[in-house]
Amino acid sequence: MVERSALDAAAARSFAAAARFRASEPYRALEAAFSVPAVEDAVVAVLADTGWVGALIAPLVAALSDDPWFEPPFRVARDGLRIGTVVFENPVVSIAATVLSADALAVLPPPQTVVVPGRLTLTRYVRAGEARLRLWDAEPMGPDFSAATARPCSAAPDLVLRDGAVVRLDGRTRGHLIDGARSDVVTLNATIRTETAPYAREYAIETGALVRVATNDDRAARTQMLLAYLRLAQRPGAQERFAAATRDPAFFLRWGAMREWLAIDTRAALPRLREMAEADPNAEVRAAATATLALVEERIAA
Amino acid sequence: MDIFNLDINQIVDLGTQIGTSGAIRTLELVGDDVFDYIIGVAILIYEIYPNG
Repeated sequence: MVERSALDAAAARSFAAAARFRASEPYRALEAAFSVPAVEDAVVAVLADTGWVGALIAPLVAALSDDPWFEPPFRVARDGLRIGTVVFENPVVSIAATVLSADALAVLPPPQTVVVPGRLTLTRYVRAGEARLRLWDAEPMGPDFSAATARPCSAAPDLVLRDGAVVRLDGRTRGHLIDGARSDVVTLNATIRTETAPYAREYAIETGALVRVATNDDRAARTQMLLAYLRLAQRPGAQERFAAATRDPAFFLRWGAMREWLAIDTRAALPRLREMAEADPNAEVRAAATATLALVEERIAA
Repeated sequence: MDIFNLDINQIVDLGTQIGTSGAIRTLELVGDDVFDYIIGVAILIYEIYPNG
C-alpha cells in the first residue's frame, strides 16, 4: 500500500512538471506560431514537420521513466478503437495525437451513422495504414436550420491516405470515417477552435437522413442545465438569468430558457414571450412562442 | 395579479431538438474532463433507465 504522503508528493512533482511543460521552448513555440491572424496557414506549417512532437514530450517521457507515479499533463481519451491525447491546446487551436487500432477497426460492425462535427481540422497521417477516408457532404447550417427541412447528406469520393499526408476537413459541412486500415493509423489532428460551428450533426449512412443535432457550445449547454436547476430549486432572484438567456445567440437556449421561465413565473415571462412570438430570428422559436402565447392567453381568458 | 404557472411539460418544444454538448461523439478530443464526465454519467443512466 502506498502512503498518502507519497502520492501527495508525486502529485506535487506532476504539477511542477506540468508548469515546466507549458513554459518549455517547444510549447511556447506552438503558442507563438498560432498567435497570428492566418491560423490555418500556421497549422499547415506546424504539421509539415513533426519533429517538435518528440521535443515537446521528451521531458515528460523522462519524468515518467524516473517516477512511476508521474502524471503527464495530458487529457487522454480511450475507446475500443483508439487512444488519443491532447498534446497542445489554447483557445485557438488544439492538437491531439491519436493511434487508431487496425485490428479493432476490422472487427467493428459497419457504422450506421456519420458525424458532421462542425469543426475545421487539419490532420497529418503520420502512419496512414493504407486506410481510406469515406467522405460525406452536408448542407451548411444556417440560422434558420430546421430538422424538418434538413436535406440528406450525400457521399463524396473516398480519399486514399498516404503516410505524411496532411488532410484538411471542413467538418462544418463534411463528415468522414476511416475505413480499410491494414495497420494502425497514427495521426496528429489539429482543430481550429475559432472556426467551430455551433452544432454537430449525425446522419444515417444508408439514407443520408439527419438523425440528430447537438450543440458544440459548452457554455450554452451548461447554461441550459443551470436554468433547469434554477427552476427546480425555485431560486429567488433568478428572473434576470432567465430573461438574459432568452436573448442568447443559441436558438435552442433562447427557447429552453423561456420554457423554464414560463414554468417558474408565467406572468413575469409573458412580455418577453410576446416579443419572441413576434420577432425571434428563428422560425421554430417564433412558432413555439406563438403557440405557447395562445395557450397562455386562453388560460387568462378562462 | 398572479395568474398561474404553466407545467413545463405543457409547453411546446422545438421541432429541432438539440442535444447537449458532447452528446454526439466525434473523432476530435474536445471539451473538458468534468463536463465529459457529467455527460458520460447522464448517458449511462439513460441507457440503464431509458424510461426512468
